[in-house]
Amino acid sequence: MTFDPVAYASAALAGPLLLVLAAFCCLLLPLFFKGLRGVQGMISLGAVLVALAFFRHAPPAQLALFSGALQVSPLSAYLWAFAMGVLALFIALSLARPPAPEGSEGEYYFLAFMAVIGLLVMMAAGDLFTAFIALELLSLPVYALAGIRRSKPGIEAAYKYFMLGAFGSGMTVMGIAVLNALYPSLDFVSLKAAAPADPLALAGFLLVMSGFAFKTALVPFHMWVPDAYEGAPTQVSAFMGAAVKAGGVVLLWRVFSLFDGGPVREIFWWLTVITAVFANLAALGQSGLKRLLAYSSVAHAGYIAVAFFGGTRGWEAVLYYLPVYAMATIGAFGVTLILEKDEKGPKIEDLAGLGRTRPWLAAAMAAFMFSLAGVPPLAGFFAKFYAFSGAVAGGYTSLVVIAVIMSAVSVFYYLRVTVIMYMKPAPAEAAAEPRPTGLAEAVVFLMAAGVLAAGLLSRPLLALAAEAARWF
Amino acid sequence: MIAAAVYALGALAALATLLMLFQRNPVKAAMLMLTALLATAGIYLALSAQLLAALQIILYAGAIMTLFIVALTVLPQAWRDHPARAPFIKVLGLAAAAVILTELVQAAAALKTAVRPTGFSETGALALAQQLFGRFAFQFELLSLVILASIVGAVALAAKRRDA
Repeated sequence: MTFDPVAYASAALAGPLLLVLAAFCCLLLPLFFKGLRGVQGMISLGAVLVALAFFRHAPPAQLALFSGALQVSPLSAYLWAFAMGVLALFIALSLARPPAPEGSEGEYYFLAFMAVIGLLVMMAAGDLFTAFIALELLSLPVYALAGIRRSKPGIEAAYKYFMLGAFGSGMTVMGIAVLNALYPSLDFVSLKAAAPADPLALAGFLLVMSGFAFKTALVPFHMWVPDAYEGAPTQVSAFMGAAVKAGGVVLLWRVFSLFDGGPVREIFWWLTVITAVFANLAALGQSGLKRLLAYSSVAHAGYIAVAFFGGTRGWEAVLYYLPVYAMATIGAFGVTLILEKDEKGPKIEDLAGLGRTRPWLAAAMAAFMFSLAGVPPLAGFFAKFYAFSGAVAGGYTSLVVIAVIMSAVSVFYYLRVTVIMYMKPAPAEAAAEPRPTGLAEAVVFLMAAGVLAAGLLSRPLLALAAEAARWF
Repeated sequence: MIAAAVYALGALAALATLLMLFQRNPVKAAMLMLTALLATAGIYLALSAQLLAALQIILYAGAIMTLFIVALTVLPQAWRDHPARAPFIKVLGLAAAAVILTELVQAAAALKTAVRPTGFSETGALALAQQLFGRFAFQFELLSLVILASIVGAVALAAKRRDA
């Protein structure tokens, strides 16, 4: 097969460019054509589905675009397909129950598209500088999306998220400034070659990593997570859990993989342990479903960080982990969305009797919980298994032991949700008012099927992940 | 001549900053800060770093001061001056100032003996533009999206509820 770089580049960039175009259509066209008002969601969904439909199996080659700013490869194709899939699900959930106030749908979808463009660039960034700008393009719209309802909890969530996020960005940019003063070039390949040894460089790398850890929500950089997840519209929380975290993970891995040993790994080891321990213990005491999922998201960031220690095999596991975790978390947030009556979402107790009143929904929720807990044969089990086995092979047994123990602790709070759904009778006045949430239910059942399929038939997804991982 | 200008402008900047610190009225303080920023731009100009001087005026004296004044007019709380009561905070502030002062004095002493790289060349507007629209064109365009998304986000958050 002859390889044509121009055709490759244009095919790879067509999807992101279509998203940019759709973003501006959503923002501007309804201003001029009254008929388009209120249908921005449909336009967005259509655009994303078209972009996804044109995804082709990427040829096995890496192409540096824009003087190395973007590295297009099978890895970027895999991650981009993942990001666009998350966007499609996010839009579907938003269509099912519009979170944006009447008249701001245009801004809502525009911001969502911008965040995803930032995510796409971040996943394929060839240097730290581009990665930082992409990080901002991802973060700023999500801050606004968190407060899009302009209600009190929403604004509080947006404010906290913005303040802590800005702090994280400040640390990243400080680190980049230090590294820029020390190294001739900030692209990852030359950073890897320029063995970072002196303490100033170490400080720079640590600052950069802590900024990315904010986005990934590793403890102690997780403070924004519970409040932001709780106050933001549930769709946006799902997006934060599935997409924003993935972007942070990819960048963290890029920086982490520059080091074969030394203090950076040691510090990251401690970050991982603290994250796994603290997040799981904190999740035990939660009563709100959204807060529970928020802490679960922090905990899963810890498990992903464990996989980092497994080298290339660990990276494969991370690439498999991201979509698996995304499916379970989007599904769980989808159930939350269907059940929620006020902005802060249902309490765990509110799920009582769901097994009787809405058995299918309860079954799907149980599947998500078991997958998040890592119960075979669901996909979450294999994700954790590959993540941990890589680290064991790398000689980090003690780390894995801690992660496994904490993961056993997590079974308790995931199981509690299931027990309440099936064992507790529904409260008497719970006349579940029927709502038109067909699309949200479709998303939930699609995710449940995905969690099941990616577990029972994990080979194809894992093969894709392995192929993508080679192009790092 | 140049040395005299640098010293005069430096003294002006230092004086304006000191006055700003002891100024209670926030608008007057902002004006004093503006003086300090402009004096700094003057130092850059005297050292024939025209681009840096222009950037200092556009970014700090222009954009950031505007932001300051807008914030002052929008937020009434900013007018109320709460001097820190806790002595601990004051000590902490003084300690931080002392650390920075020693650092600066050391850095200045080190600069006197430092050997400047011979390949040093002036960074002019042309060189910057060539980088910005050449090598970093993609990042530059991406930044335009960042700014646009921030504006849209800010408007979406600040707009009045239509149903209220």
